[in-house]
Amino acid sequence: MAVTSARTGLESRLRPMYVAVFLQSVGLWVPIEKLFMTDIGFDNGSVAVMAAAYAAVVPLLEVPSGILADRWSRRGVVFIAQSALIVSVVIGGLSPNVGVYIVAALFLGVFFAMQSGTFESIAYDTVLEETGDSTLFERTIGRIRFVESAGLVVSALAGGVLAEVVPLRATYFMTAPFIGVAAVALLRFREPRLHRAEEAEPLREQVAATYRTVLERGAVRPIVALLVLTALLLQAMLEFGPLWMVALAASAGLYGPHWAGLMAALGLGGLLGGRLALTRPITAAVIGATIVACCVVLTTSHVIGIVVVAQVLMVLLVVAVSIPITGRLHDAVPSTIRAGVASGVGTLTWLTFLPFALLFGAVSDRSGIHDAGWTLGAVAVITVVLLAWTVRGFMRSPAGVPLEPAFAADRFRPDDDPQWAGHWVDPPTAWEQPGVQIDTGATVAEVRAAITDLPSPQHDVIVARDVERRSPAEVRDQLDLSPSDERDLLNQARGRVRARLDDHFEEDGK
Amino acid sequence: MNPNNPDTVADADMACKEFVHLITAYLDGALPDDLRADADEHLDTCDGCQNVLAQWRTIIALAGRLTEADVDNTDEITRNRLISTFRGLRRR
Repeated sequence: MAVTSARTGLESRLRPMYVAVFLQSVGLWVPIEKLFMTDIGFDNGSVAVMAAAYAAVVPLLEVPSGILADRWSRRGVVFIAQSALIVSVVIGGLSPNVGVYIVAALFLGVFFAMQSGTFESIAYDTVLEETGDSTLFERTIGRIRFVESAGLVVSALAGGVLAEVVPLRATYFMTAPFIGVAAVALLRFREPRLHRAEEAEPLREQVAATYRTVLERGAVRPIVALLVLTALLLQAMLEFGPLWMVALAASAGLYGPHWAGLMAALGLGGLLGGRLALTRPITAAVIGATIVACCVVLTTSHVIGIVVVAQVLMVLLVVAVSIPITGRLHDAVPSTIRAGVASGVGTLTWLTFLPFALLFGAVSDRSGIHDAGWTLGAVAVITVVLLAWTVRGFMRSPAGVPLEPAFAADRFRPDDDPQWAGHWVDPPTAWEQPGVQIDTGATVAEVRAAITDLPSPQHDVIVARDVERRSPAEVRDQLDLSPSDERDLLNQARGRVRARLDDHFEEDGK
Repeated sequence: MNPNNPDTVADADMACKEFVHLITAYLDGALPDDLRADADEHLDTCDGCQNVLAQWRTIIALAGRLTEADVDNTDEITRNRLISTFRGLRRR
């Protein structure tokens, strides 16, 4: 009962976010971009300049925007991202020449940099706040990916049709209202504020903590490496996948369905990833073997249908695998640096992709696209080996098992309640009632039993803080915890003690 | 108040569900000013949350009367560690 209501509470709270993600993924101009660029005078050289400018802006902005999201508001950062996207499509549609269009591309870079990592951080904290633990995160992020790809597929199809009846420029302007509505939908989303539940750390320390988490040796490193590798495979497939179509002289009519297949695979991979049990060795082995097999097909097959199936399958599986890994990353990172770390992974992916793209291009120029497929195969093998090695650690450690929340989810009104969303259904009553003694030996014994029964991190924190009366700073040092972890664990511990005492007084009152 | 800041549009009201996550931070005086103001405003009108806040204070007072030896669960930790070791062995 409590579980179902937590789930519906989560779904209704996330609904405006799904709507926003769908609408901002609608880019009616995407299918005609190459055509439009040729019209306004782009040649190979200026395309390269644009790509370089874009590639420079995104990694520069990603981590700073993630840190801004952690210090200020994730929703606020997405709001700025959406504003940049509107500016980008308006300038894009107005641009008379190459220079102006490059400005539009830079604003698109601002959008990508600012929203990267932000939605997954919002999703993780919302799941945590609504359900008390992170179990449903993977399913949620899978749905976000699905909704995103639905937006991409719909606009890929609609944009092409639209361009038949209106000027190419118009597809840019017609995209803007969708983003505007996405921003309005986002305003209706109640942002979790876990990341702000403590005094702001000095900026320098937060920046240092963010970079340390992404780059330093430790439990997070293999997870970051896996995320970078899967993102690299995905990006390579989306960037270079169409080159196989060119090499195999596919007819023009096949490009649309090919692209739609890749976009649909993004979404289906998201849904699959939300349900994937990577910890089962057989599942991990089958997926790993299939990914490598897809690469082998890409290096050898000259049959268009088989190549397309291999690409679609590979995108689907790579997205699916990345979702539980994303979950483990967020499990390992405190809320206060969550968006910054997620963006840091994005930056590392960019920095890895650039040299990889150069290598891929060089091999492909010299000896053809099929041979270039081997570079992809090499990355896939490294990914699968690292996955097999890391996956054993994916079992949540017993110490990390979240406690039952202090208040069951069905104690609060659902999020779609018109007036009292998130307020008590039946407010807790005071323990101090006529005839009830609070400070008795029996009560102290109950507190003692409740604390003794707590699992170790919560037990250790409440003993240090409330029994030994140490200061928060001392406890953090002693147990090596971040300020937010220390307070979360203590709040959970006190919540469990409260639940026990509440039962105790209720029996007393009878 | 900045009208362009989406935070000030819809989040001015704190829900009970959010408050119960923040009680310890509230008592530690660790909330940023704006969240603290939201929490105070919420407490002014919400008896349920006032009661929970009072209960948190009662727990802190009661726990302060225990000694470390009272709440030592080392035996239990050792047992849990053994159980998870066995579980790990069976997985291999």
